[in-house]
Amino acid sequence: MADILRPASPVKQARVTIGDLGLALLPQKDLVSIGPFRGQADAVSATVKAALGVSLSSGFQEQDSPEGYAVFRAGHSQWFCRGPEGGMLEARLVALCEGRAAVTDQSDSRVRFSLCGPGAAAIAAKLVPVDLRASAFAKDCVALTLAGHIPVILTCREVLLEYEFLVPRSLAQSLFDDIHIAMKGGIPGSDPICSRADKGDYFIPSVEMDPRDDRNARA
Amino acid sequence: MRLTCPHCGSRGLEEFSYRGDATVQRPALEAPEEDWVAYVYLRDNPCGAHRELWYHGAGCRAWLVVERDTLTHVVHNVRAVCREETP
Repeated sequence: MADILRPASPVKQARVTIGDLGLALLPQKDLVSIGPFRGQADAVSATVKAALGVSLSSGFQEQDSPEGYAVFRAGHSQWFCRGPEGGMLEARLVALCEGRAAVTDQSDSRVRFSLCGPGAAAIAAKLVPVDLRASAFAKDCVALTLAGHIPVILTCREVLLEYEFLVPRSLAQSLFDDIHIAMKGGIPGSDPICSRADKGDYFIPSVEMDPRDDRNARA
Repeated sequence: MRLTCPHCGSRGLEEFSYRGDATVQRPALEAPEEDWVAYVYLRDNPCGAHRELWYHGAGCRAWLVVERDTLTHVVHNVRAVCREETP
C-alpha cells in the first residue's frame, strides 16, 4: 500500500518567542469561502444560520457558534466559514448553498498565525495599515488588508494582546519571517535589521537566525 | 491620506491604486477622431473638486469613485462604481 502523502509544514518553525511575545502556527481547520450570487446573500445567510448556527454578517466581525463554527466577512460578497478539521464542511456548504453561492474549500490554501503577548498590537501595527486601537478594531473584528506586501485577513482575538493572521500558504514563511523580524525590533519599511545582540543593548532572539536571510546578516 | 472604502471602512492609501479620471466619458463609436484622441490621451489637471477612480487592490478589490479636492486634499465622498450596495 502506498504511503499517504502528508503536506509539509508551511513554516520552518511552528513557534518563536521574544520575551513574552509569541508567534505561533495555529492548528489546521476546515476553511471554506462562500460567495453568494447576486441577490442571494440573505437566503444563503439564513440557510447557513439554520444549519451551522452562524449567519453571514454584514459587519466585519467574526461570529461563532457553540457547535464550533465561525463565519466572518472578508470583503465585498465574500465570507469565510471555519469549522473543525475533517468535518466535511465544504460538502455540507455545497449542499446547503447549491445554486445560490460559490463555495470553495480553502483549508489547504491558507495558514493561520497567532501573534500573542504584551505589545502584540505594536508589532502588528508595523505591518498592517489598520487602526488597531480598541475603539476601531475590537475583539473579533476582521480586516482584509496587507501585512507589508502580503495579503492577509487580520482578526483581533484580544484587544492589543492577540491577533490572528490568515495568510495564503505560499506566503506563510515570508509573513512569519516579517513578523519575527518586527518582534526582534526591526521592521518593514524594508529597513535592514541590525544584529546588535553582541553589544547587549538591543535584543537577544530566542531562536537561531537564518544566515541566509541577509536582512539579519547585515550589521 | 486615508480613504473610507464603502465595503471595508477607513484604510490607508497604500491599499489603493489610482486608476484615472472618473469624469472621462467614452465617446460613441462613430464619434470623430478628435474625440477619441481626447478620450485616450488628453486629461485636465483640475485645481479643486474632482472625481477619480481608485482601486482597492489590497482589500475588497472594488473600483471606487473618490470625490476629493485636489487643492486641499479633502475627501468628500467615496462610493463603489458598481450600483449594487453591500452586502
